[in-house]
Amino acid sequence: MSLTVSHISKQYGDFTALHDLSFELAKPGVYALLGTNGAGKATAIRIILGMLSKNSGEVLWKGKPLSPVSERVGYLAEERGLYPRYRVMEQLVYFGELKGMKKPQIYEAIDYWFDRLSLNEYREKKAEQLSKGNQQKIQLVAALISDPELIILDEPLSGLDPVNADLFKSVINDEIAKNKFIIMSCHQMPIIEEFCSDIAILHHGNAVLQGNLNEIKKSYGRVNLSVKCDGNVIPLASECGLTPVEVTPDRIDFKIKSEQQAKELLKKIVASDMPLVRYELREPSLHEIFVENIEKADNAAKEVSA
Amino acid sequence: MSTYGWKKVFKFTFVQTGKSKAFIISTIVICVLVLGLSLLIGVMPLLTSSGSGSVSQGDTLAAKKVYFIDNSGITSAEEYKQSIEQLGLQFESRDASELESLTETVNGSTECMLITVSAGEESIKIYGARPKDGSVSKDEADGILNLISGCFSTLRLEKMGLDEQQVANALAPVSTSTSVAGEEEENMAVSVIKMVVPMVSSLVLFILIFAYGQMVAQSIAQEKTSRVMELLLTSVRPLAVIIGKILAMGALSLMQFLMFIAAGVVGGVVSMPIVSSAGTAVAQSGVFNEMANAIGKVFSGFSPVAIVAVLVVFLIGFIFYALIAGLVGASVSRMEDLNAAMQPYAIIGVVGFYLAYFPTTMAGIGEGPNTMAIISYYLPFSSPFALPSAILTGSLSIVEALIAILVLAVVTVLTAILVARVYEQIIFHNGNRLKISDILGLARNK
Repeated sequence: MSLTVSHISKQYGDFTALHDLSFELAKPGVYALLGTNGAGKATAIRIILGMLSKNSGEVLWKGKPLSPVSERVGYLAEERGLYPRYRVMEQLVYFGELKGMKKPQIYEAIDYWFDRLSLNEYREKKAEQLSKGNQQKIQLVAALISDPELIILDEPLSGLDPVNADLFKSVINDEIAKNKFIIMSCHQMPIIEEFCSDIAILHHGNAVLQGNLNEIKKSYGRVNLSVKCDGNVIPLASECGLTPVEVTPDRIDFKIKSEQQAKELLKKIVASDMPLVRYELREPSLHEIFVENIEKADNAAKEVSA
Repeated sequence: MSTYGWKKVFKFTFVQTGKSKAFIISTIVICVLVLGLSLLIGVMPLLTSSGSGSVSQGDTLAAKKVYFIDNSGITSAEEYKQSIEQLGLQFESRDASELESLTETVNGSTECMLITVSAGEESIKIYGARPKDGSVSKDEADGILNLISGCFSTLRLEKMGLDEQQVANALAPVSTSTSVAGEEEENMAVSVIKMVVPMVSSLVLFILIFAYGQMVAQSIAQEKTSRVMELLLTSVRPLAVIIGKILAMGALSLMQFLMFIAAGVVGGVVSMPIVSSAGTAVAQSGVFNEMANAIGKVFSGFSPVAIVAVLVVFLIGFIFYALIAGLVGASVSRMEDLNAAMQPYAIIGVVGFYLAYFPTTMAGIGEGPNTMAIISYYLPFSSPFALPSAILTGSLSIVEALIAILVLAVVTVLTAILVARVYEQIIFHNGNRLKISDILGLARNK
């Protein structure tokens, strides 16, 4: 059982919304679609969901073209949508029925999710009477009501308070534990690092970086050095050819070209008897990888146009 | 293209819209109006009968006694005695010199009348005085005078030497009418009904088809702008959403239409006993029979096949307008843009309505179908409003009606194909409102 997205493209006249995107979820897990606004994430998601026709490529689920009409697919859209004047229960029953569920199944699922997300008091309320956070919970119930094997979460935690964000995270963890195939689009990089094994960074419709997140990080090597000393470490770093990229009361960050530079600085600190509080050599964060790749793609585009 | 799930969309839309306050209130208000109007129309003959002045043997009258003075020199008071007594009234012949004292007597009484017959220079005058307190109504007094007037005409002719048959011939009413050579003449009732039926029918159909079309547009625009559409489209195709929605609105529209008709029928049925129980001559005068005959004549094309044809026209017409409205609703990204986007739809609808309204109404009262009326039967924008009354009143033959329905159906299918081609792309369009040329461009590029 797997999801294979193969060479999908979408063109609107002369405008390319998505170009030749391919990836595969061979086993259950979370795949992240990252990108700046207008990068093509929503287009990719809509094509995967079959909402939008594609100019080329295919989306296979269990080896066959994915049809959300016949397969149960859960989707939490970035821009939330509920019927404001209809009762919450009636809407969820409708969404469940559209997924091909029978009424007893729907009520059972609603009972479970309303208990899980503490929504019981809102059963007979109209959507417009609920707070934004609670509306978001109802949206999550609508996405998961049919217990789908494939789930697409577009900005699942945006706008949530810390308590509800933790609640949503626990639900996502539960779904991961149930071996679900999840595609997540999110601008909060720590969330991606917390849940996702594989990523694709999209920019202007193109995938500028793709692969396993751990391997991508390893390929960059440990290039970030954070140091904190009881004294001025910057002159010592200069002697090693290092220039600070960020100075905070807590630490000074350097970009190193090789781990040898970091070792040299450590030797100089020890030799100078300067008390060392912190010395950390680490891989780049996803945030750094994201920004670097977007800048690289922009520069390349500028060069081409020049 | 899959239409799976349209029944669920239909059911949800039907139930939710049907129980909305706007639907319930509008249905109740219009039903009450229709009920009131049909009651009013039903009792109208009773109201308009006031002053018609007609009494007959067996009527219960307030007057009990009639003083009669005849100084016409043509007839004598005694000659009227039998006719007055047949009404159950006491008859007293008096001399013209008593006129003043009798006037005072009648004025102060509660159940007496004074009738005088006199000859002027150029006319005969029959005058009736009734009590001041109004115990004898003007209607009743007029009715008695009409009877005396009839008696006078008969007596005058008999005195000229005419026998009974000649008198009857001389007094036979003269009526005038015109009709197209070779065709049956039309009376006033037929003409009025022929004018009113297309007028009311096209107006009601316009309100139902056009207003519900707008509701389809509003509903789709709301789902799009509130992003509910994205959730729906993970389960069903866009075409299923629009089909379910259009049919649900069509069913609600038809249901409301039938409720209005039911209210009208109830009003008519209720008003009939009111008129009958009034016991007036109106109830017995054949007004109802005349109306029933006129309705029967006008609805000569009325048959089960015609009813089915009308329902088919209604349904196809509704789908045609709703498809356009749905497309317009899907083309906006903000609810506030909807009114501006609906302008072309409104223009098409209003032009179609007026094209159906005036020519077909004129055709109903004129010398036959006019060119504009014929065009309105075949033009898809106007035919949903014009065809039903034309079919029911027999203005179109079966073959002509079938051709008109076929034209409407073909254009509706072509519209559905266009909508199916572009709807999926339009529904995800965000940004500036799409123009008609943009939509046609999408259809070509698909």
